[in-house]
Amino acid sequence: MGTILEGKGIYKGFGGLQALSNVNVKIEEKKITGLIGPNGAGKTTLFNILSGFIKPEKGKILFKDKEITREKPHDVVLLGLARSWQGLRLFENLTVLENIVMSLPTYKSENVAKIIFVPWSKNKAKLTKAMEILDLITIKDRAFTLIRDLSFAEQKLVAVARLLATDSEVLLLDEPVSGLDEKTVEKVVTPLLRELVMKNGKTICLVEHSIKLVFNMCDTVYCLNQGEIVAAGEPRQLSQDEKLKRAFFQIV
Amino acid sequence: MEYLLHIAIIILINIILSVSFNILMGYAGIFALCHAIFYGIGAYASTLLMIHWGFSFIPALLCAMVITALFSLIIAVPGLRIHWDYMVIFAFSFQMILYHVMLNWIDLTRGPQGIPGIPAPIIFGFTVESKISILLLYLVISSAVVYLAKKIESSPFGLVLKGIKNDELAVKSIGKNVTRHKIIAFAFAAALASVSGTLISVYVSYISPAYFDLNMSVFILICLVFGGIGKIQGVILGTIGLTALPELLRFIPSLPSTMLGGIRDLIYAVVLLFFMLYRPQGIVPETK
Amino acid sequence: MDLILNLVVDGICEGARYAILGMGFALIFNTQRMFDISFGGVYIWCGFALWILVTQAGINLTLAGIIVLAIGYLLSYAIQKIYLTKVRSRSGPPVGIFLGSMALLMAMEAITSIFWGGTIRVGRIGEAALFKWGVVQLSDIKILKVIFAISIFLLIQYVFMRSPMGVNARAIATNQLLAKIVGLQNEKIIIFTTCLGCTVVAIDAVLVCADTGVYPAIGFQSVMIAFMSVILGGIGSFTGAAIGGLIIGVVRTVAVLEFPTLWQELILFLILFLIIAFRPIGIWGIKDWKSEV
Repeated sequence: MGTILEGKGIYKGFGGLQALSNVNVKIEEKKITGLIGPNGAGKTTLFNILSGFIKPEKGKILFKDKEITREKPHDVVLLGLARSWQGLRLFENLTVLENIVMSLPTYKSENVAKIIFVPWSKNKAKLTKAMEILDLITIKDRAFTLIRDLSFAEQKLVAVARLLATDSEVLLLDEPVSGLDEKTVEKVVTPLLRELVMKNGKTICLVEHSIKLVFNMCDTVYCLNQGEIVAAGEPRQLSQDEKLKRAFFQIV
Repeated sequence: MEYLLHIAIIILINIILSVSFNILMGYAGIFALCHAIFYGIGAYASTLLMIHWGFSFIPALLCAMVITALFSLIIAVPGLRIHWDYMVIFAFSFQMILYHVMLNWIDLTRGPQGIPGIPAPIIFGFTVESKISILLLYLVISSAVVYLAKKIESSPFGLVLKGIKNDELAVKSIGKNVTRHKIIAFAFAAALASVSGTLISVYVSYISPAYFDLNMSVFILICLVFGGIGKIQGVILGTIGLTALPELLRFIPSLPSTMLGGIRDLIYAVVLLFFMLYRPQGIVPETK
Repeated sequence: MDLILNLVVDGICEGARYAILGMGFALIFNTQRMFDISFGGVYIWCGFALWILVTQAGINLTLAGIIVLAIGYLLSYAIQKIYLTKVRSRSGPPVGIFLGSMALLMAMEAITSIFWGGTIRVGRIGEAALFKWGVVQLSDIKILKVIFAISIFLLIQYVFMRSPMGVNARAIATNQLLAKIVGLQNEKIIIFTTCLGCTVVAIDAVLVCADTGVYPAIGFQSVMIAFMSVILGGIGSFTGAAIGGLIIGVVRTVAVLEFPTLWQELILFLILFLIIAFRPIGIWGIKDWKSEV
């Protein structure tokens, strides 16, 4: 059980604003890591850098001990690291099923001609897999609805499903449940994420605002504030640190 | 009767153009207002191959497709890096540059005089010369193109193109190479447009740069807007409508012929105006 | 030597004209942030209006010019209110404005061509007055071009930009969303700067009509020149647009020495193409024009 994803000494500034300063994070394999902090702390920026969408000014990203700092975002996904978006970024003019199917990795049976000229609906293997994922997320019955016509909660679920579809080993989830009702979170999302780690051996890192949720689910938690890591460790340890709690819960 | 056949042939040629432009603009959302150039490169490439190098119809058609696809790289590759809003003027400057090259490179293209005497297609020994036989041949070819376009639309590749139109970053985040997809889309659109170029060359037996100017690119665009950007049936209907409409003008007895050009342009402009304001989704009603 | 000197001076006059077009478009574009090319249509109609007023109605050139400017302002106001505001409010992609304004330009060009055909119409009765400085010969219109270009530049840069309206316009040009939050009425201001820009463009229409004449296709040409001036000079920069126009005017005129006329057009578009491909922000352009992620 080692570190599968690591950010070393990350610095990133935008104009006059230093978004991240000397950020060091280690994401352990087959565990759930949490990232918390007030708005503007730099959490999404960190995700962007880890997944290759932004390049850091200083620092390195290591994935399975290989440096991926300069890799293009889509190549990072192919290596096994994928992220979801705070703003969802779903393909609004397409159906739920289409969003999922297109996120599935290219199967070995697909050659170039098949990819370009054969309807995706004819690929039974992909269809079944997509439906499975939708079933897990409990929105199978909305498979043929356009994203535009879904409720906000349903869209959030699709965003998680789309991330799953990439079949990546390491999943970065940016606020996957904020805005969802408690029941769905407890009954659907939390158990699903746990199962992904326990049964499927995935690694998860998530950003969330609900401290309760994060402390409940995560094995390790990083606290980010104004671009710096102010605390890191197991939830139990952190919640016993009085000074940290006071400082932190006031802000968050 | 000959006249109707002529219109039908032109409609088929235009359908190939608009369906291929739809791949770029309708699926991928790439507003490359230079489609007439691919039309023109296809025309000149196949013409020169047939006249100077003695190629027969089908080899000339195929080689022209490859040549035009390669040409599309000139705009596709730099086009990747520029911001989407600039794509319009970028493509438009590409259009103007190549139009002027066609007009001025007299040694190659004979400039505004054009190239006459393009031989009729000879397929498996048959010389396809009469309007009816041309119509049938072009019907086969354009059906093949439309079929291909439909297959592309419903393929995994097509899905990614539609994704690119929606949100490029999201496409990257699901592991798809946006750059590669755009370049391939351009290549396909250009290659198919070049088919129209070959078809018009052998039909009219003459080509000149005037066929491939900005007005033509705009016309193709309006066909899409009229029919519904993205939907193949709409695009085809739009093309038929816009090609046939001005021809009806000829039958209005009191209209002086000097006005025809202006009125036709006015009609196109009004169509665009109307649809931009009231029905951006085009004539075909929303399905699905 | 005489020839070169005359060419350079001619080039500066041409450049002045291009600068006017560039400045007009810059005014429109900087606040709208969209490629609204309806000013091309306004150009055609203003040019023809001048021709009609001067040659058909016998009105004095100066007076006709002023009337035409007023027409230009009103025309663009009507265009914005009736059509473009609606298209803008649909919050579709910016391409919608481009297409809509292009359709308007096409329509206005088509109407002109239907009624008056394609021949060149000159809005002046009698010969131009000529002036000579040493070996350099200039017509009165050419001198006016330079005078107007400089005046417009100074007026806009130092008077308008500093006026309350101008400051608001600059705010919107920098950050539309923020301007709205702060309480600015974006739409009104955008309409005003667009109409102002169209009026500036109309000034060139008047000058050109009185000098070499207008024809329906000239609207589109003026759009082209405006684009090139702004893109060369730098998107988002008013000064850049003026300088860009000046440079293009001089280069184009002097290039006659080396290149046959046929290739001139091509070179201009090639420059446009290369600039967009390699340095879209132009020479003096404003960075962070559009942000990603």
